[in-house]
Amino acid sequence: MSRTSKPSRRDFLAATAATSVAMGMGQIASADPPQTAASRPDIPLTKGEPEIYRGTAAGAVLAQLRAAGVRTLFHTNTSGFVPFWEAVYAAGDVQVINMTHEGQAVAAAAGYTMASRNLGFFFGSHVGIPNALSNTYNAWKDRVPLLLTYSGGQREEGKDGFEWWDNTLGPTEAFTTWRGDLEPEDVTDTLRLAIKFAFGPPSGPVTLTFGAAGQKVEAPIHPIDLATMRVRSRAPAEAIEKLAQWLIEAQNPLFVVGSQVGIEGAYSEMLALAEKLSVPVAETMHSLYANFPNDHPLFVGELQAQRYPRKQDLLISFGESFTAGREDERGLTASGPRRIVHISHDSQALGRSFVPDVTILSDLRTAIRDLSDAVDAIATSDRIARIRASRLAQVSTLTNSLKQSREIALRAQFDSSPVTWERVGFELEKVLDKDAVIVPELGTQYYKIYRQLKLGGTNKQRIGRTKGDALGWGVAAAFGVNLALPDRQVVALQGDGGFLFNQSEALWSIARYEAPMLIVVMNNHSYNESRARNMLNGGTFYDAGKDFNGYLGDPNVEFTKIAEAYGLKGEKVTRAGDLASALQRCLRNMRDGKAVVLDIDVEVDGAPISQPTWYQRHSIADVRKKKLNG
Amino acid sequence: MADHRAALLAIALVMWMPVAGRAQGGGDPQVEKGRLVVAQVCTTCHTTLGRMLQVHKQTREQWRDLVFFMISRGAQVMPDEIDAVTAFLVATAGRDRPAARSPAPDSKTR
Repeated sequence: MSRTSKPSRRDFLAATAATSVAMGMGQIASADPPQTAASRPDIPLTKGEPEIYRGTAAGAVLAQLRAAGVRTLFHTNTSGFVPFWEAVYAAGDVQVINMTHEGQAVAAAAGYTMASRNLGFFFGSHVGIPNALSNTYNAWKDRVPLLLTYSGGQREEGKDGFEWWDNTLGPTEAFTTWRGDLEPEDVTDTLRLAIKFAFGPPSGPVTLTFGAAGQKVEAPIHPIDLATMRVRSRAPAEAIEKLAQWLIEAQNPLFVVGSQVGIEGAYSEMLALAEKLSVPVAETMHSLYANFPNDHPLFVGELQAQRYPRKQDLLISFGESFTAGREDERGLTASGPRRIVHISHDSQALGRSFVPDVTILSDLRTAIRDLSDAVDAIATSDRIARIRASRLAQVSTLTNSLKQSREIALRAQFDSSPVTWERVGFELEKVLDKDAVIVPELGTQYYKIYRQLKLGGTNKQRIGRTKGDALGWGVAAAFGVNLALPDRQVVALQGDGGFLFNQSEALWSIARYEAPMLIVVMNNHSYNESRARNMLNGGTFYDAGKDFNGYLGDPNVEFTKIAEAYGLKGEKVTRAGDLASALQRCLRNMRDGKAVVLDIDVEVDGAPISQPTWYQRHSIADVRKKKLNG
Repeated sequence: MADHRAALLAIALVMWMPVAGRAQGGGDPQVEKGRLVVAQVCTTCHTTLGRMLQVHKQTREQWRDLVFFMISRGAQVMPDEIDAVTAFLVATAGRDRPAARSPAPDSKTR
């Protein structure tokens, strides 16, 4: 990925001398991983001695990261990391991605990690911790394994010193699985512990302070296979057999696929199990990934919107935590009493937000395979085939009808301007690659786009919207996705309101690292989601037709000019008929390695109000009593 | 469970909601069909639907657009139910002329 040329041997020697990196150590992580017990079957239980790193503590951290396969680091400017930079320079195969705001850097690291299943690593100033908190929270809600490393170790507490507060990592406590201090005496042991905590489960961000990075150390470096870092679990056979029996006997079962399917990449297993008995598949409103192909005849959409089957008798959640609140609760209760089974690889998620009839702690992929095998063991292939055929006919009838309704809805306002959300989805589906990656950060109108896009399975991948919902995540997260998946088209779907939550900063990195992304701004000149919700049940402001905080059209932001300020291309579309040609121009620019910001005037929906452009006006220029000089 | 009760209450409200013409012994079959669909489909999310229909009065065209909008968002309304749902909404919360406009900054566009 890195285009940085490898340092010359002279530069390398100079750097290693500066950081006291032992000559032998410089090759540890760049060479093949040291031979381990796994590759020596004659002594299968023998673990090899770790390599010993001799150099700076910062160099040891980098060596351990490299031994874990980490080659991409995210950074926001600060002093205090010189030894780390020297180690990076010496290594020659590590790319540091500079971001201009800690929060954006954390979002980019999260996007990178979700797309790559690698480990996201950020280093920056501890003074930037408050900046990073919002997207640390999002990463925590999304269970993204991140190491967020901040300059400054423990100092004298209680003195309110310069750039200092007591309990440095305290503000991150609610959003992290662990916090630690990378002390020189056990720097790589602590780092490995941090990696373990990051992968959990529950997985999530770990914050670390990293003080005396220039101190000389001798530190063990262990090879780490990140794919094995998450603690594994498997359900007892009797629990799976009981569930298989229920599944075969159920007249109207329903699967809910959740984010853990995506975290484990167990898509094909999920699809195969659903198809085995033609079980309809739903997702929750806050599903983080496209965990099931949405053009599949078994996919019935959102759980809370389920109308059929009318009398569900079994609901099995595969890795959905149901922690999104009221919508999830409605989904779980709207169809009345039924058996509910919750399968999760995270023991802390089981039964947290509702009480299922059966809880199963297991890796999702393993549980799905076990359940499939158990069904095969209990039911004859003829019985399975009969269930599959009859139920597929029923579910397909439903999903075909719903598809027809969506087509009618799409065509109803197809040529309207401002452009409908459905039309945007329709045009994107026509031009994007089949395996493009969509990174949305939109309100609940996103479904109007999703329904037109083919997502999941072998189709387009979706990452986001973050379950945290804290705005200011999407553009940087999409950039991180593009770093991880440089051969895929990456499309950030943004609302205009969300973009204005500190997101233009991410364009700097997108431009510098030549990420050929498409950033679509769904511009309805308002915080439409909150306006619609605020006005839903009427009230004083609805009666007055006034909305105190929703209107964004004054000033009317020209997002294309923001793009141009960063040297990127901008496209503006106000009419539906112009969208297709604009998208073609965007794709041409992307092929040339340039990101494009496509600003589309889209429809407002929800309850209309009589004074939609009203806001509480205030002018400092008008109220000032003193004339300014000049 | 509170939401389940709220949804049941919303269904009950919809089922008993007065519509234009019904008081005069109407009972338009299309409206009644729409009533059943609304009770099944809309109240799963809109637990305050009764209140919403009291507040938001729309023209037939606006209600029809809203039905399309909700279908696109995931409401499970079948093709042969679209007219019925629209008819129920018009009968319950209709008006002759639009009451509001959209907040596009350039009023030349819709």
